Amino acid sequence: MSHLSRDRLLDAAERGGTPEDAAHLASCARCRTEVEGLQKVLADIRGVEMPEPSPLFWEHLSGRVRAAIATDPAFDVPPGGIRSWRWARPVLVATAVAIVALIVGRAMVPRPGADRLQPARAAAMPENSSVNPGNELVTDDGWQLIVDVAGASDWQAIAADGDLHPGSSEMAVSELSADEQRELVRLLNEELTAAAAPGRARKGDV
Amino acid sequence: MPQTGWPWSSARMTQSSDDRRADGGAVRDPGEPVGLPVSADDAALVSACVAGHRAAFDVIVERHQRAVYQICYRFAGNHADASDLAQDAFVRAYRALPGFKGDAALGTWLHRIAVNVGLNHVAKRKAPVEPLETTEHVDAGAERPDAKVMRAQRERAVRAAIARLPPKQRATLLLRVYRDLPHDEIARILGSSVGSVKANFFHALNNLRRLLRDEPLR
Repeated sequence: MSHLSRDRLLDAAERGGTPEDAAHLASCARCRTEVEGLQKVLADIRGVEMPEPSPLFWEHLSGRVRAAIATDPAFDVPPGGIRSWRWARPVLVATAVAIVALIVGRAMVPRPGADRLQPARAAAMPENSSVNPGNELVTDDGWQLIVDVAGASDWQAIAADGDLHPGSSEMAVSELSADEQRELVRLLNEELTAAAAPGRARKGDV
Repeated sequence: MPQTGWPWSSARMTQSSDDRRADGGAVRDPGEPVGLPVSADDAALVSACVAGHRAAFDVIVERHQRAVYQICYRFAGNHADASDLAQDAFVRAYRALPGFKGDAALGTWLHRIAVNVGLNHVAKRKAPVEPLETTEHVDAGAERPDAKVMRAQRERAVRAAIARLPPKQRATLLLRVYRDLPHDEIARILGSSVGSVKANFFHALNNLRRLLRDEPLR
């Protein structure tokens, strides 16, 4: 005598099964015992009560979720918003690409006109002004160079590693705050100075 | 936050006096959001939320919080942990919402998050903790004290046995028995096949039979 399959035993235990299965169970003690055992444990499981929370709890829970989202710095704005982490990733990538490109470029390519450019940059950026004390956006040559390099980056290669799209680089650098721009310029100053000849550190040179 | 003029502003979400929607007169279930336009399906809410209308996520939470909490409770076994897990599940959902493509229903997606949160919780917990509510919420007037004690003991034993099941069997069992979900829905939630769900459910029931008889798991 063939017995009921696993699926048919389950169906019989949960829903009574088909008429054919019921006929089989009537004549097969082994399958009947199996189904009764499953039904017994199902009844035990269903008998475990879940206390119903207070009606006020539902408002409390939605309020907790709202507060958790509101106070989490990762959620300064909603998930699709301009300053979500989704947007921040291109910023970080673009900034890293710009810095690496500048460092490599300055280290590898001879720069015969570099010294000639220095006076103009020095004039544009006052002494000890690699960090601009004002609150306005940085508008010197160094910053423009960062913007240019970020705009010329290989976005297909970058996008392969992240959720980017054309124009992200321009948005990334232009959306940085004045403080962030100044910090980026300062970092570039340090890196480029180190990448050039040692002992030739030049303030404000980008 | 661009919520001004949002059709589901707080004023529109005020509960009507008879809990009926003006458009269809449907009776509102407890815990269901109120005052929503008929067009406010889950997909519209997700789009609105991703577009920056955080109030839309409030509606999502209100609509699905009961199901998410119940899943979390079945994993946690007590109200306090279940509340924390439900909150965590919704925060994770909010974080991941831009990646929700709508391939599955939002409810299925939230179930999946809640199950993952629950499984993570039980994985971190070393020993099953008996819920404080085990002997609460029982109608004492309808039950003799000795029967009440025996039933509480049986519930405790069943809870402890469920807590000892392997994670997939446990998740399958909870979704099947306590959420009454069809096998294909459970398969979508757990990222497995219908055959696997049925097998896990069958093994879960048989393992529980053994555990409740103090036999080792197979």
